Amino acid sequence: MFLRLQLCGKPVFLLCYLVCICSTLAGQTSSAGRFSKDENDKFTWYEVVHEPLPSDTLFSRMQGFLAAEGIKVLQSGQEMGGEGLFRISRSALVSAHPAARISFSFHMEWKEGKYRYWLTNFTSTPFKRNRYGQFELQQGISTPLEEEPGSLNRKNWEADLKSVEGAARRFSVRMRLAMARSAPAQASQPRVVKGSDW
Amino acid sequence: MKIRNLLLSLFVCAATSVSAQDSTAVNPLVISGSVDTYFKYDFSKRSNIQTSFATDHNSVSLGMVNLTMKKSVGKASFVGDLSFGPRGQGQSILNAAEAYSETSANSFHIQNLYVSYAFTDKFSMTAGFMGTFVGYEVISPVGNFNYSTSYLFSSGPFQNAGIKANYSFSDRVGIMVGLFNDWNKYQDFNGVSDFGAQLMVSPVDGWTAYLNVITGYPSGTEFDLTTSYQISNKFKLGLNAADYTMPDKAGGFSGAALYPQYAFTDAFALGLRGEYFKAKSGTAIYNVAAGSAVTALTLSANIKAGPLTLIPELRFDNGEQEIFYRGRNSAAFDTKQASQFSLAAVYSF
Repeated sequence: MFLRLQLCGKPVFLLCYLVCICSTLAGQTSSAGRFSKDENDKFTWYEVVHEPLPSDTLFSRMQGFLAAEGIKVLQSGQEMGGEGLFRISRSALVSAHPAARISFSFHMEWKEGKYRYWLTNFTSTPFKRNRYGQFELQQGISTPLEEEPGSLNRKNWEADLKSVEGAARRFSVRMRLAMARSAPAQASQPRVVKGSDW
Repeated sequence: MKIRNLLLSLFVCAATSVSAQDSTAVNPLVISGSVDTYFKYDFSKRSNIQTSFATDHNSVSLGMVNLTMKKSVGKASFVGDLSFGPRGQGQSILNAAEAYSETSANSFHIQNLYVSYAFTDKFSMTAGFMGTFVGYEVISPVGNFNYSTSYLFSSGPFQNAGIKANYSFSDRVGIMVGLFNDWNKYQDFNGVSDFGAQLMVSPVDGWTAYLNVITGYPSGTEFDLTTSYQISNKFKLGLNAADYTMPDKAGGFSGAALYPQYAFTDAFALGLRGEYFKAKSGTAIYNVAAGSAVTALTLSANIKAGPLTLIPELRFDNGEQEIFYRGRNSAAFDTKQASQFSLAAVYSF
């Protein structure tokens, strides 16, 4: 087994990575994030996470995470809200290109030892290829994700829904990792090779 | 000599920054493209209206297969845009002999071939063979609402090879200045002789306006305004106005085209192009006699089914003079009016 692992560098790396993630997330429990329509008929990604940390720690870690994600937030008491962006692509075999920019609202509430958040108000702005062969946003078009197209374009819409769910799931993984990790270690100084020190 | 020094300085500047870069973010290769084909019926029973593409009468004909590759590594990127077929060869790009010809086989098949370097978020430089920055319509059928093309498009440049610098003051304002070959030239034997500039303003979300100029000898000088405003999710209004003067005032053109488009559903949109085009005294342009004008109305629908767009289109042209054929047996222009129907299928990926 050991020999097999040594021979396959990539699987070993992936295994280690998974073990790392599992160990990091072992301390927290969460209701699995769900992507479905809420009571207002809006697509929503909703998740409750139990994280055994004081509420001010949860708050400061969340602030750091949202800043890293480029989400500007407004805080009010034990609640936080902001706006964020995903970009989704369309691919088939070897071709792939940006399909749409998805903007969403972010809401979060936290208490001692747990927090919950949801992403909602997803709206889509499509990309279009310009004269230089590059994809650019079609500014001025903003379609709520809930707006179902006719049967001719349903397949694309369903693919976009899956892409948004995937993007929300990846957001969730990044967030839970950021919330669970300990304070970032000080950046280590680059090591200098000393010929006399051996 | 000055241009040589400038190009040398730009190259040294680029090389220095490239050597200093520490960002190695690698994006995957993006491949996209399109395929298009069409049927056209001209009511004079022969090819009549001067449009760059959709030229063949009573024939199911080819547009082009278009393949575009793009890749970014750190701040550097390239675009390679290849096209095969009448639309992407003899009708829009040059062969190796630098002449438009549908019979010559040695086309380079290249619509765009350029490299870019983003020195900062606001400033970038691009060099190579690029789709022109002038005008509203483009060669790719994916970029146009109407399938046939305007007189303004057909008369302006298609590509500009050169080096250009882009600077964005903000999301709302940006400029471009560049040095270019003569219009539509892979290689410029009289030196890099054209100067081009563009001012982009975006007063509100969805509204962009480009003021363009390209000038040089022997290309001449063209001023161009291209603007479009996505007024609502359903309604878009575009405008193109241009004025071109040949060197020594030997001729030119001026004109304007308005493009209202309305999306009734996600699958069905209607668009009108109303164009006025005048050839200045001196030279006839696309059969429009010197000093006379033509008005063209084109009504197109876009029926979208995922990546496929069907474009049925009706077009009516009306010249000040007799610039069209009345029928198949007409030996010379003998009518002021012409009309055609076309149905195009464009698949993009």
